[in-house]
This record gives sequence, structure tokens and C-alpha cells, in this order.
Amino acid sequence: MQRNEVVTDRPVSGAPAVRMEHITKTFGSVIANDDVTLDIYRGEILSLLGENGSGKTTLMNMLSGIYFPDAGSVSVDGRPVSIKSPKDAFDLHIGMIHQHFKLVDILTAAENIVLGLNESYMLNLKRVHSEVVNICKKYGFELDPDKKVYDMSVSEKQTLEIIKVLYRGADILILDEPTAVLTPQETEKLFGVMRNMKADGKSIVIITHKLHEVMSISDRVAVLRKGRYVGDIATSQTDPQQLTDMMVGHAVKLNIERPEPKDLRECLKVENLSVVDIDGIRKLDKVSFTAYGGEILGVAGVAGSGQKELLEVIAGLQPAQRGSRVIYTDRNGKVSSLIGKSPLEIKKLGVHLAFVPEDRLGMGLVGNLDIADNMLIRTYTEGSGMFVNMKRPRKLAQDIVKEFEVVTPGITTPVRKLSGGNVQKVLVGREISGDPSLMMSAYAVRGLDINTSYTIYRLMNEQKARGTAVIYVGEDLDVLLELCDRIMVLCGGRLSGIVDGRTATKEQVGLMMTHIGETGKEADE
Amino acid sequence: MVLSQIISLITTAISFGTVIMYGSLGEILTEKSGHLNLGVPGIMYMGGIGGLIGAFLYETHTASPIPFVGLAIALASTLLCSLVGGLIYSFLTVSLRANQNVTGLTLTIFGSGLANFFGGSLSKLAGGVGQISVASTSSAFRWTQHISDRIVASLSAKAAAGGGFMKFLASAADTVDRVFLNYGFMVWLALAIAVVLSIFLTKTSRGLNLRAVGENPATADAAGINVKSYKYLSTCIGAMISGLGGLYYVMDYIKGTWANDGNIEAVGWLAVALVIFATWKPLRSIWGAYLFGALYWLYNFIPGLTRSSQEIFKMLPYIVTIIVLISVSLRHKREDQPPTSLGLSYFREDR
Amino acid sequence: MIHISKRVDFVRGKAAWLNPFIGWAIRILAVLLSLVVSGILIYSITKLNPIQVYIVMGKGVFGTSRRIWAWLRDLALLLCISVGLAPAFKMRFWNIGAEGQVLVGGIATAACMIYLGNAGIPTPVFLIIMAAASMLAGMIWGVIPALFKAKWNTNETLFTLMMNYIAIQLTSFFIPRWEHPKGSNTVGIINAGTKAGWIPALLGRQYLINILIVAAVVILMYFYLKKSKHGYEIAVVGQSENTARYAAMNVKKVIIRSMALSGAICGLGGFLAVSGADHTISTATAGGRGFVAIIVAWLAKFNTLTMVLISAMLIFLEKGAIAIASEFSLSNDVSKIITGIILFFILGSEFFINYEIKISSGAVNREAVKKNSSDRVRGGYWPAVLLSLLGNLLSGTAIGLFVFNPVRVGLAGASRAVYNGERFRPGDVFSRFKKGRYLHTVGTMALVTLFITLGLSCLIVPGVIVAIGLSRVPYLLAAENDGEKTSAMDVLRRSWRMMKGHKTDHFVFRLSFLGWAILNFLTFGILGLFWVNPYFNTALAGYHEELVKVESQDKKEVL
Repeated sequence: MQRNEVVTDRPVSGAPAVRMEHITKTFGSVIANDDVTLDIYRGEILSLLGENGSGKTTLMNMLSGIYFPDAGSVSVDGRPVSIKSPKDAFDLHIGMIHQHFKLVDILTAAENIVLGLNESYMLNLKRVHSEVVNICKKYGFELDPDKKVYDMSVSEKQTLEIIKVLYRGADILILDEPTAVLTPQETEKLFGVMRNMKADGKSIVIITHKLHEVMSISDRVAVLRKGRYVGDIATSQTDPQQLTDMMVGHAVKLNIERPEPKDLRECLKVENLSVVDIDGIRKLDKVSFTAYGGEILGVAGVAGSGQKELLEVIAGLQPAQRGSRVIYTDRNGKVSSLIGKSPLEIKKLGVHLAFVPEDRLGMGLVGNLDIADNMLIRTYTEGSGMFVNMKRPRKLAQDIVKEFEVVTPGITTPVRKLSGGNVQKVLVGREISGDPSLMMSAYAVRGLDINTSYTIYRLMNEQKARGTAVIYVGEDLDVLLELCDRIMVLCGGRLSGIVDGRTATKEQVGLMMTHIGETGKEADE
Repeated sequence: MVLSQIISLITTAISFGTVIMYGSLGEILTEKSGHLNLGVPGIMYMGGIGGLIGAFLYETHTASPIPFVGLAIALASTLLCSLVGGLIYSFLTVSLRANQNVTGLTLTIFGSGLANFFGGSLSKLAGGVGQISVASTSSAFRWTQHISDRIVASLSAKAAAGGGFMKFLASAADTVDRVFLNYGFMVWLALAIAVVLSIFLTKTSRGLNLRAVGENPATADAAGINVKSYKYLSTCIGAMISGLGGLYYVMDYIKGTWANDGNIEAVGWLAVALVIFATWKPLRSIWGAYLFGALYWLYNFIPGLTRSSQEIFKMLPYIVTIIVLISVSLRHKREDQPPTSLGLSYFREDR
Repeated sequence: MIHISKRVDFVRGKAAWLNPFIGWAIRILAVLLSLVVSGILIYSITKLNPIQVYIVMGKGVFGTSRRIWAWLRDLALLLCISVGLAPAFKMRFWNIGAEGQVLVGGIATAACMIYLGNAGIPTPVFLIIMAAASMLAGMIWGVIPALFKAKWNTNETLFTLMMNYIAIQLTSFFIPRWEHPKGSNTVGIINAGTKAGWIPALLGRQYLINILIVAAVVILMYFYLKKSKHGYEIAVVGQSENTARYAAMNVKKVIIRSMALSGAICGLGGFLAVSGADHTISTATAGGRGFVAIIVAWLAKFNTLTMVLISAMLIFLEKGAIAIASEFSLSNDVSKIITGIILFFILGSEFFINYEIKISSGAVNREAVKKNSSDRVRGGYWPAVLLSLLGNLLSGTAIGLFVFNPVRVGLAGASRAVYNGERFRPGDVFSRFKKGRYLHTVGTMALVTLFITLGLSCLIVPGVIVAIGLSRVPYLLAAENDGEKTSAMDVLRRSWRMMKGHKTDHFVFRLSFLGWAILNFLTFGILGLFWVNPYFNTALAGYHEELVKVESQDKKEVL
């Protein structure tokens, strides 16, 4: 089979259950879906595959009534329909299980299922109970209808969301990244249930980027890339390599400068880093690597592979499991262990750490304060005496506005009123101003225009030239391959491997992101 | 001696406690929707004065007022006035998304001013402070007492004619009557409302929807529940229930008159405290109210207290509430926590 | 559909500096509106002239020097408590316990006055001791809930609320111990003879020291919150706990420290109340001011300087109402009623400042029509102005049926030309005065007037609906080709059909010009002559054009 040949296959005969034609959806200047045409058939499991930002969730949200297409049409069983609200979707027997569950913690499963249905004045939980038991028997779910949601594991909550949708008579189910929160065993159980539902004639769309799951569960795969529909193909007639090609496409030349690293100095040594979050999910699993001053180390991986936790552990905002070690060596050779220390303690150690978090206005900056006040966040304790010295922050603010051409009515404007690119310039400008020896950034160019993005790349390079260790978490493989000296790839919380930024190929990294282990070994499955 | 004191304490506890119970039942309903209404004292004021004015106007303008008509009029005016209070609060906090604490406190100021103003004017009309008396209507509120009194009286009459056992029965019946039955109908009404409210919240679909609204309005919204109307309805109906407390206080507890003594406000705050103590459960609110009533008046029944130390006893309801508040936050038992979205305005961003 | 969304700005770009002023203008408008409503209420209850009542209020507060000082003294007290709440509220810690903190501060002060009054301590020292004691008492009262919040996230609103009542009971506990005369259950004026512990007069003014103390507190708090490191921490913790953690701030410490400060200053308020005003202690010493201060602090958005203004207004109301009460033999409670109404209006007005309402267009896109019209008029300015001048002038003055209506139809047709960018002449208003057209025009429009009048006589609203439904008639008439034989009733029917389902939308469309109409009125019609009239006429015609397009589209879909 030739690469990149778009093949459209029809696994079952008959009209599609859902046809979306020439669907376009834009948010402001961002085109989320660009003239997408997609069919969903009865009795099939369709995987909707694509990278972050390819438009998968947006497309499906139009079937679930959360968004309305700007152009294009949707028809169900051949009839044109207009889905303007979740209720319309339910009436058409379409049900979506979102990534963020919509459950009331303090109620039981049965109560959550029947919420809002108002079937009768008095709650007839017995009926709900028996109906739930029926559904569970039919498809192989395991759920205790009387269990409180706050007692449930993530997998049980997801099961509850699916049953909720089935209870309302859904024939077309859409699952958004369902296995992101499941263990391999739970994933297998889910797949078993999905096969049962398919045998019952239901249509199931699973939005995912895990290739091995796609191969294992789906009948057909549809691929989106950067808002466009690339094509679909029967799973039996394709392989992970071809799918990766469809997902990431050819490498795109960006012309980002990449000076040779010199005077490398060991800066941060991470050993056996493991993190478990409050829900008990393992976010990072024995990750080890070293970051050197004078180079840019990229971090690639599908969203939720542990990048956020990695950076937060180093910054002191996230606790880690026992056995994890994070050792920092500053320019003078002084060695400190960062594990288990709060940001305050890290600061007291004299560690100059710069951290540009993913959540710009929610963590990195205070939206209601102005630029000058935001400059203080790292340095407000400086100086003796009670009062804050506003001279330096104000000057810093003015310098940043001038140097990075921040568009703002004035330096006294609250930063939340600035546009996304300018917010980021302020944030990055501040972090760099502290003359760090370790600089970490998460999705620094997400949502930014080209010019601002290039400014950010330039700043990263400047830091690299000054001997700072730069850790750059990104989602655009093209950028990573042109900017970073080395790239570490995380997948499901584990380190897939570290490759050379100059010699690695996009396909290679893509595979590492969605496979566990370069050798093609399926992990724990 | 001691028995009669205990009986006295119990009856006081129940009578006084009922005022608190009304306030807290209404506020439980409101808080279940996620709104903290610190205007409960104001609404109880408005309900009380509303009912009093209704009855007063009726009695002064009718030659021979019929007690039950007076009762009906008083009831209607109370509900109307409390509804107005509830609407002011809900319009500001639900539609205009104003800060709930500030709005509630303003309502308390407004309500108490309104009530005391009209109360004072009525007093003047009646010829002096404390002179208002809608005795006729007020007596109507105690029809349940009249019935039980009559039963006991007839039993006593029979007993006088009978032997020792009958006498014993009669005096037992008398005690039972005094402790358990000697109350105006609104005491029984409060119990009924508490039971109905409890059933509504735990066993009906709409009650379930309301609980969801108070816990997680976004989820309720996604499930197709009209969050705004649930908030409006529960706040307004809650206000009406609280207002009934004011009516009971005026008509039954102080027997149909008005005194500018700030008692209703004190009771209003006790009601807010009771909501917490009862961990937002109407049935707990029943015995909680009686307990608060007992604690509040306990000092009267303990001998040897100075005027000074008796004030410490009056602190008890609040101290007990604080203890419950702390233990609830310690134990993290989800069912005892306040509704998660309590105090927060709900705003659904455009999709 | 009505869409509500969070407002970003009132005006953007060059005029952005106007934004805070617009906000204040809305609040002032709300206060004025509330005064009107209160006036109506006063009148309906007391049958007094509200203006007279307000004048009496003014005199009652500012009438004599003594009264002004009393106003300043009470203003200082309320302000002190409000300022005390600022650090807590800015941190989003809802300290509802100011009432209790003031009271315990007062208890501490009274205790000092009673037990140390005869110790012969020189006054300045004594004052400092009392102030310190009251601040300590308030601090303890405030820190207790803070500790529980910091450690176990116990709900602070409810905790601080309960502490109020415990404080009241504590006061009642002490009163019998300190009562004077014995058995009266009131403490009476403490040290009435020696005036030991009373804040003395300064420069002959009784309350000058009170005011100076509070002024100092206000200024210090302003600098503390705005310029100090602690103030910065408070601001960040209050805005976003995530950012506070990221900034390596010790959130627990900030909470406890700020509440300690808050309680201390409220306690100082108790000192002012007891030592500087009442010279006694009772359960009414705080007098609800703790609650009012919450409202003041919140309305002022925790800005210390704004609090001065708002406190001034509220105390003015309180004192003024007392003046009214004595003057007109009303009860003091009137002040509470008026205060309540004013506060309700201010609270409500915050909605209009923070959110904007958009009524989405129906089939016809309002914004597009208006923009197009405005462009066209600006493009061909003088002819459009002249057209409207002739059309509006003549139709307004001419003899009803026979000249007014045909001119109106002529205007309608020509305005369509303006909207479409086609050629037109101002003289086109007279286009209906031709043979063959004239009678038909007059007859049809007469019928329209008849129906509208009938509708209006049925309680106005039906008349409005009929008018909207028949609003297409002038345009339809103008578009008729000569020689077409349509009856008057057919034209009316067609108009009604076209407007089916669009009447509300059209109503909203017209209503959206209200602002322009008001401006026109304020400029005695001059603005209308030179802008509003041509713009409005063109936009109305534009509405018709777009409606016709929508209608023909609908017809296509049905086919």
C-alpha cells in the first residue's frame, strides 16, 4: 500500500448512522474544523485519530450539541438534523462521554443516571437499579448502582458515564480519550464492553491517539490533521506506521535557528522519578534523564503523558513517590536535592529556576494585577524592610514591553486584558529576567501567532547560549525537531527514549509517542 | 418540683425551638440550591409583621372578627411578605449575580427596619407600646391546644368520678398533654413541613435535581436541569417557610402583639446556626431546634446562677454549632458537608 | 435569544480611559434611582413631600457644628471597621465576624476603664494600654476561625458568624458584673465623674482624636495593602491560590496573619466606640455596624479610599433618618429601610457594570444592517440628509391623510435606494403624487392608520403589534410597479405575512435606536437633522431589504 494514499472503506453495507458533511468550525481566528466530511456506520467501532489540536473533540462536540457548525450539515439515518443542545443529541440517541466527567460526587450512581430525567415525581430508584443491572448484564459492565461517586475509581466513573448514556437510549456513543485514565487491565475490560455494544448494533466512536489501541479495538480509523480530514481506512488493512504518517504528515521546514551547544554542564539529574496523583493514577513511572546547561532538551509526548507533573515536581509544586531523586547542580558546582522541597525552600536554597507553566493566567500570572505587579511574583521578598520596591519591577516591565513589543494600553493594565501572545511574552520575559540556570517551559507557544512564537524560540536559544539548561515541553513535533538538541519522549508516564534532535525523524518520534518502547513491544498488554 | 421544671423546660424548648425550626427549614431549602441567605432574620421580620398587619387590619375593621378568617388572612399576608423578601434576594443573587453575603445582610437590615417601623406605627395606632393585640386571631392559632385541653378536661371529669386508676390515668394524660400536645397548630405544621421537606429532598426527582444544583450547577445544567428556576423556586419557597417562623413568633409565642426588642433577629441567627448544626438535613433540624431552644433557656432552670453566669449558658447553641462545623471539616464525611457551590454565583459561559 | 456574557470593557481603544467613569456613572445613577423609589415609598406611607424629607435629612446631619462632629465621629467608627475588613476580604476570607471583634475590643476597653480607672495612669499611656488591649482581644477573636480555615478548611463565613453571638453573650456576661447602679442591668456611663479612660478632647473638639486615629489607620492600611510585601501576598493569595503556591508564598501564614490584623483593627473600633463615643458597654455597642461595614468594604471593592466615601454616605443616611424621625414623628427604622433600598440598587447595578447583555438578532442581522446604512449615509451624505429633511419635515407637518402618507411612502422607497447604493434624488419623496399612484397610496395608508388606531384603542399594546405588522406597507407600495392591480387589503395582508415571526425582532431593532433618539432629543433635533434621521430612515429601509432577501430564501427552501 502506498503511503499517504487516502482510502475510504465501507465495512458494513447500508446508509451511515451519522453523516457529517463539509463541517467547518472556527473560534475567532482559529479554524478548528476545515471542511470535514465523516461517516459513522451502525455496528462499527470507529477510531478518530489525530494529534493535539487536530480538531477531533471539536468535531464530536458538534454531534453532542455543545457546539454548532459554522457551515456544513449533519444527518442521522439519512435525515438532516440540527443539533443545538445536548438535549437534541439525546433525542437523536447520540451520547458522548467526555474527558471531564459530569457527575455529582455526593450522589450515587443510580441518582446520577436519573438526574434531570424527571420520569416521575417520586424517585423510583428500584427501577433505575434493575435497568442498570440489565444494562450491565447485557454488555458486561460492572457497576454498583448504589455506590457513591466520591467512592468510585476513575474507571468506575467512566463506566457510570457510559451507562448514563445507554440508559437514555443512546445508539451512537462517542468516547473522548477514554483510556487516558485507565490501567491496561481496565482498558481491556472497556474494550470487551465496547465489542458487546457493537454486537448489539450500536455505533461507537473512540477519539484517541493511542495507536496500539486503535489496532486492537477499532474496525475503521479516520484521521484528522490540523483541522482537516485526511482519510479513513479499515484497521485490518493498515498498520501503525501508515497511521502515524497520516497523523503527522511530512516534516515541515520551519527555519528555526539551532546553534551547536557548547560547554555542556550537568545541571539537573533526575532518577527514578515516579508520581501518583490524588486519584491514585500513576502519572510518571521511574523516569530518569539528565539535563545539561547549554542545550535545549525537548519533551515530546501526547498530552497527559506526565509532562506537567515532571515540571511541577522539579519546581516543588508536586510531591513525588519515594525513591525519586532530583539533583540540581548550579553554575558554581553546588549540589542540592530538590525532591520534597516546597517552592519556598527551593528559593531559599538559592536555586535559580525559571518555570513557564502551561496555565499562564491561572498559575504563572495574576490576571487582575498589572504587568509591573506581576514582575514581583518571584522577587517580592527582596530587599529589607516591609515595603515592596516597585522601581525595579516597573523598569523590568517597561523593558519587557519594549523589547518584546508587548501590545498593551499601558503597564498599569491588568494582564488578563492582554491577548494570549502578549500574556506569554510578559510571562516568559519575567522568567528570563531572573538569570536562571534552569529554564522550564510547558507549551510555551500554544495559541501564539508566528511572530511571537519565533520570539520565544529566539529567547530559548539565547538562554542556551548563556549556559542555561532549557527544558522545552512542546506539542508540535516540527518545532521540537528544529529547535531542540535532544528530545526525550514520554508515553503514558514512561520514558520511551531520548533521541538526537538533529538526526531523529518525525515518524520515529511519533511512533515513540504512541508506542511504548522503541522496539515495538506492547507494554503490559 | 423537679418534674414540673423539666416539663417546663421541655415545653419552652419546643415552643421557642419551633420559631428557630421554621427559619432553619426555609434556609436549608435555600442553601440546598447553593445560595446562602443571610437575610433570614430580615425575612422572618417581614413575615411576622406581615401577618400581624393582616390580622390587625382585619380585626380592627370587622365588628366581630371570626378567628379562623383572621388566621387565614394572617397566613396569607405572611406568605406574601416573605415571598417579596425572597424575590428581592433571589433576583439580586440569581439573575444579577450580586454577592450573596452582602445582599443577605442588606435584606436583614431592610427587613428589620421595615418590620420595626410598621410595628411601631401599629403600636401607636393601638394606643401605645406593646398595646397591639390581635387576641382573637392569635387564639385561633391555638386551636389544637383547645382540642387537647377539652379532651383532657373531659377525661379529668370522668376520672373524678372513677377510682384511683382513673385518677392516675387522668393525671398522666394531663402530663402528656402539657408536654406533648399543648401547642398551637403551627408547632405541628413545622414538624409536617420538616418531614415533607425531607421526603422531597431525598425521595423525589425534583429534590434530586435540586441537590445537584447546589452541589455542581454545571453538571446539573449539562443534565438539562434549569438551574435558574430551581434556584429561584427554592429561595422563594424557603423564604416563605422562614417567614412562617416570624408569624408563629408573633401570633403564638408572644400571643399576638409586637415588641421592638430584636428577639426575632436573634432567633433568625440561631436559625442560620441550626442549618449548620443539622448538617443541612431537615429531620435533624427538628431535634436540633428543640435542643437549641432548651440550651437557650436552660439558664432559667438551673438554680444558683447569677445573672452574669446565665449568659454563658445562652452561648451554648453557638458553641455547639461551631463544634459541629469544625468536626464536619475534620471528618470529611461528604454527606455532612455544605452544598459544594454554596455562596457561589453560577454563570454559564456562552458555548 | 438573550445572551449574557462577562463584560471586558465599556469602550475600547482610544476612549478606554472613560471606563472607570462609566462604572461610577452607573452606580450614581443607581443611587439616584433608589432615592426616587425611596421618595415614592416615603410619600405613600407618610404622605410627606419627599424633597422636604430629604432636606430635613441634610439639615439633620450638617445643620449644626455639633451634628457635623457627631457625623464625623460615627463615620470614623464605621470606617475603622470597614478598613479592618479590607485585608481579610482582599484575601477572599469572608470575615463576617466584625461585629464580634468590635465587641470584644469594647469589652477589653471597658475592663481597662473599670479596673484601672483609679490607678492614676496618665491619660496618653492609658489610651495606649486600652487601644492595645482592644486590638489584642479583636486579634484573638479573629485568629481563631483563621486557624481552623488554614488547617482544616473550615468554612470561615459560618464560623465568624457564630463568633459574633458568642461575643454578644460574653458582653451580657460582664454587664451584671459591671453594672452601675446595681441591679439595673446596664453598665451606665463608666467613670462619669473622673472621665478616666475617656478619649479626651483635643483643641477643644471632643472627637478629634477619634478621627485622627482612624485617619491614620486608613492611610496606614492603604499603604500596607498597596505597597508592602504582606499586601502583595494578600493580593496574590486572594486572586489565585495556585499562583500563590507557584510564587512560593506560605498561604497558611498569610491567612492567619491577615485575620489577626483584621480582628485587631476591628477591635480597635471597639476601643473607639467605648472610650471615644458611648463611654459604656452594652450588647448594642457594635450596633450592627460590623455588618454594615461588610457591605461598605465589599461595595468599595476593598479600596480603602472608596470606603471613606461609602461610609460617609451611609452614616449620613443613618443620622439623617434619625433627624427625619424626630421631625416628623416617624420611627428611626426609616433609615434602615432607605439604606436597604439604596444598597439593593447599588448591588443590582454591579450586574450592569460587570456583564453585558446582547439580544441576538432574528432573521435579519441588526448589526450588519446598521453598519451598511451608516456607511451609505456617510457615503452620500448631503442627498441623504436632504431626503430625510424633506421626508420627515413634510410628513410631520403636512395634512394627514393626503400629504403625509404619500410623502412617507416616497421616503420609504427612496431610502431603499440609499441603502442599496442606488441613485436617488431628494425629490423622490414626491414620487407618489403621480396619477394612478396617488389614490392607491392614500387609500392603502388610510386603511393602515385605521387598523392601528383600532388596535391602540384596545389598551395600546394591540395597536403596537398591528403597527409593527403593517410596517411593510410603505415599502411595498413604493416598490409597486405602475399598473399593477393590487387591492389595498392585499398589500396589508402581504405586509402581515412578511412580518410573521419577525415582529419582536423588528421591535428590538427599532428599540436599538433609543440611544440615538435620546441624544437627538437632548440636542433639540439638530443631531437628528444632520445624522440620526437619514441614518434611521436608511436603516429601516435596510431592514426591509434584508427581510425580503430572507423571505425569498425561505420560499426557495420550501420548494
